Amino acid sequence: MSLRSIQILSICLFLTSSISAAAAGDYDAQDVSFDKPVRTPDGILQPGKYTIRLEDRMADRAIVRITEPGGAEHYFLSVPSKTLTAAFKGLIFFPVSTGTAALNGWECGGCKRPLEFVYPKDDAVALTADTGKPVLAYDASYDKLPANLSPADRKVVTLWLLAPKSVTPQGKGEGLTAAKYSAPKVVASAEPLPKRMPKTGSLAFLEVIAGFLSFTAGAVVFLWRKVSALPLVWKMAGLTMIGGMVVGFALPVASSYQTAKVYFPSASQLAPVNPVETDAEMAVSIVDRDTEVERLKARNRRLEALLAALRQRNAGQ
Amino acid sequence: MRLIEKLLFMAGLIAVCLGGAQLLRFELFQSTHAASLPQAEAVKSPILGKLEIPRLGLSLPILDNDDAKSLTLSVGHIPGTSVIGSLGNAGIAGHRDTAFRPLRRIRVGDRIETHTGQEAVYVVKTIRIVDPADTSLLRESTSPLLTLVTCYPFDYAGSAPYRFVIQAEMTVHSPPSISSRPSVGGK
Repeated sequence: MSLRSIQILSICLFLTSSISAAAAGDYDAQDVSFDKPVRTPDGILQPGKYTIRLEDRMADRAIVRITEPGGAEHYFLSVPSKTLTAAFKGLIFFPVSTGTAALNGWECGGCKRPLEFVYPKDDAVALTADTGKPVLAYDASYDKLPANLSPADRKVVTLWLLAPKSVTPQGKGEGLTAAKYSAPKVVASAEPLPKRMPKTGSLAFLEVIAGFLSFTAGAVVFLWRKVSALPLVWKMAGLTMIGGMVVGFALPVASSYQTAKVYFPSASQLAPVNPVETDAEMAVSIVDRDTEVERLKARNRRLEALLAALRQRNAGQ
Repeated sequence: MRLIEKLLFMAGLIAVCLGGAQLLRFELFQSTHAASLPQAEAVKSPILGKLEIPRLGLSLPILDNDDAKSLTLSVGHIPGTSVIGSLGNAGIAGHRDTAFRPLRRIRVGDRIETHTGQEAVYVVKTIRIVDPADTSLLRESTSPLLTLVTCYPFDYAGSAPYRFVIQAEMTVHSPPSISSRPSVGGK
C-alpha cells in the first residue's frame, strides 16, 4: 500500500466519522462508519456503522465504549493526550503502512483534549513496530489482573508508554523502550463542571405562603371596608379578633420558617461511621482499597524475598 | 379600596396556583415513575435510573439534567460530573423542599443505592455545608463517589444561601451484563 493510498484511506475514514459526528449531535457520542476493518484496543471492528461514546471519566483516564449495530459493546481505556492533535472533532488513526487501520484516539464533541487509546501490551508492541510511533499500553499481567479488565481494574491498571529505540527510513520502529506513563490530571469531560452549585431551592412553598398572605391581606381589606361602617365598639372588637388570629396562627407559622441563620449538622449527623452490611448477592466486585493495599504489600514482600534470594545466590557465586 | 381588595385576592390566587401546580407536578411524576427503571429500548429516556436511601425511605427517579424543569419533577444528574454508578465522582441535585427534603435526617454511615444499569452501593462519609460558589466537592476524585447536593437551611423560604452536600463512597459495584445494560450513560 502506497503512502498516497494510506493518506486517502485515513482522510476517508476521518471524513466519514466527522460527518457522522455532525449528524449525531450528541456531545459525548458519535456515530461512525468504517468501510475497511479497523483495529481498536478491544479487537478488530469489521466495516459497518458503530456508535462511539465517552462512557466514564476519572481523574486521569476515561473509558470509551463502541457499540455495534447488533448491540455488542467494546470498552477500552483512554487518557487525555499530551501530544495528539486533531484538525476536527472525531477519530484519529495511526499512520499504519500495511494491513488494518488502527484507531489512535478520539476527540469527542466537548473534550478539552483528544483521548488517546491505550492498547493491550502485545497490540501496542506491534503498533509501535509498525508505525514507529509511541503507543500507550497496559500490561494486565504486570498488575496481576485478568486479561479482560473489569471497570475497577481499568481504574488502577498501570499505564505504559512504549516507544521504538529508532525509526527506519520506511517509518518502522526498531527496538523498544517502555516507561511508566502518568496521564495529565485533566478530566476528559464533555461538559465542564458547573461554576456554581445547582439551584436546588424551589419557589413552590414561598409562592404558596405569599399567596395565602395576599389572601389574608385581601380579607383584612374586605373586613376593614365592612367594619368601617360599624360603630367604634364593633370596630374595636373586630381589630381584637384579627389581632388574636395573627397571634394564634400567623406568628407560629412564620416563626417555624428559619431566617438567614446558618445551621450546621448536629453531632448525631456527624456520628462515627457505622459498619454497613453489603448485599453479597448484588456484589460482583468489591471496590476495597484496603484489599488493594494488602495485595500490593504482599507483592512487595514477595519481591523483597526474591531479591534477597538473588543476593544470596550472587554472594554464593 | 375595592380595587386593592380584588388585586390582593387575585395575586393570592395566582401565587397559590403556581406553587400548588409545582408541588402537584412533583407528586404526579413521582407516583408515575417512582417504581420504573429505564428499559433497554428507552434510549432517549430522560430517566437515568433510581436513587434509594433505605433508612429514609427515599426512592427517586434520577433525571439526566439538573435544570429547573428537571428538578421540579425529581432529582437530576449534575452535568460535567461522572456517570452515576461509575468510578468517578457523580453528582445529583434535588430540591430541598420536595425530593431531597428527607435528607435533613441523613447521617454518616447511611447506605445509598443507585440503579442505573451500573448497580452501586455507597456509604455516606461526609456531610458539609458550603457556599454555592464552592464546587470543589464536585471535582473528580481518586475514589468512586456519589455527591448529593441540595439547598440549606432546609426550612428557609426562598432561595437559600448555602448548599447541603453529602458525599458517599462506593462500597459495592456491580457492572451490568452486556445484554442487560440499558443505554442511559453518556453525560
